[in-house]
Amino acid sequence: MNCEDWRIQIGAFLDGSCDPKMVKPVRTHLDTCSSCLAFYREQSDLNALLGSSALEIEPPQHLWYRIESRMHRPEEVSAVSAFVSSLFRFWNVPKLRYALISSLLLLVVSWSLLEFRANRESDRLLLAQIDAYHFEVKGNPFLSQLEKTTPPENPFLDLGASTSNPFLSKGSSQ
Amino acid sequence: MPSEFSPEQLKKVVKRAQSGSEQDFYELYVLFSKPVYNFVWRLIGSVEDAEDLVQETFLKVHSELKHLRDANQFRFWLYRIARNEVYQKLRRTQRATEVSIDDDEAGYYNFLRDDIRQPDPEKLAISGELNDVINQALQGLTPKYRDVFVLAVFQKMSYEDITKVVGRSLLSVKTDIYRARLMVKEAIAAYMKRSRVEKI
Repeated sequence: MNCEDWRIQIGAFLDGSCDPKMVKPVRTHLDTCSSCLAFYREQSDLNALLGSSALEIEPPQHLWYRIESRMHRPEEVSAVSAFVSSLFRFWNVPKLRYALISSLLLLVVSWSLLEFRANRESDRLLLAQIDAYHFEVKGNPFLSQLEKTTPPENPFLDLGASTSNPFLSKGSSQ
Repeated sequence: MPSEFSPEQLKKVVKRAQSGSEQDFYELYVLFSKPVYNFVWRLIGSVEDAEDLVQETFLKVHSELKHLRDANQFRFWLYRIARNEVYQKLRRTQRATEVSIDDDEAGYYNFLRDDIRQPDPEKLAISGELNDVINQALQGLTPKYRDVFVLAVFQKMSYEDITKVVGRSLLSVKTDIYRARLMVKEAIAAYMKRSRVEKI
């Protein structure tokens, strides 16, 4: 142990909280190390000064009356405000707060991943459908032939265009 | 620990208070209000805030006492509630890492007005000034060091008991108290040197 380790033990020794197994070694060290002995004396004075009851203050007389008056006040909190305050109490506990934040983060990341995968799947299905359509049209000789043929000319229009008006033609021939 | 009650007597008082006896709750207040008030005052550095926080602490104790499982743990539980109240206040006012000189001065003047049990005005002024210096030194510590140091040196609580209040390991408590000791000693030594020079 170095002197700093010894001084941690000396502090505990001064506060009456030294491990019983360490009391004798601490005393032996104090007999042999002058700088740790100086630390012990300084800290012993500090303990005597700070532990003095002259430095303590009395709580004011009216404090109990303030507490007592609030103790007998009927509860005026609604169920909603009680729920909100319980949430805030939950939020004030650091470990629970961090747990909640990390759970939310995990939830958001998982949801994004699932959404991404679902989008990829639907894209894949769409592409498969397009491929299937192309195969159906291009691969089928009849359907592909149908696709290639130009629509026939309108027979009625042809007829109308080719047949001259008998009346007009009659008149015009005269 | 206040020595008016033995642990067994304290346990009985706590149990009676748990079953709704207001007289016993008042007994607990009489027994613990001064140490808890001083503990909170040392942590927060202001008499007004200490008063409000001790009030909230005892009100919380009153409403939650019936849920306390082990009456032997009452003292640690009480200090833990007081400490939590202080931390919540520090968080609210964002003073966890800052020292407000104005508040320290207010604490000093209020200390002079409130502490009517000190008969000698000169002694009162000296202890008031020293308290001011101590509070400034304590406010300079991080809350982690401050609470364990106050519990060990001012409240004379054993390290084992401190671990129950602050929920940290014995080794961490020991080390933090040692570091706080060094910082507070420096601040007090500077004050002593200054006051000696002023006297000469």
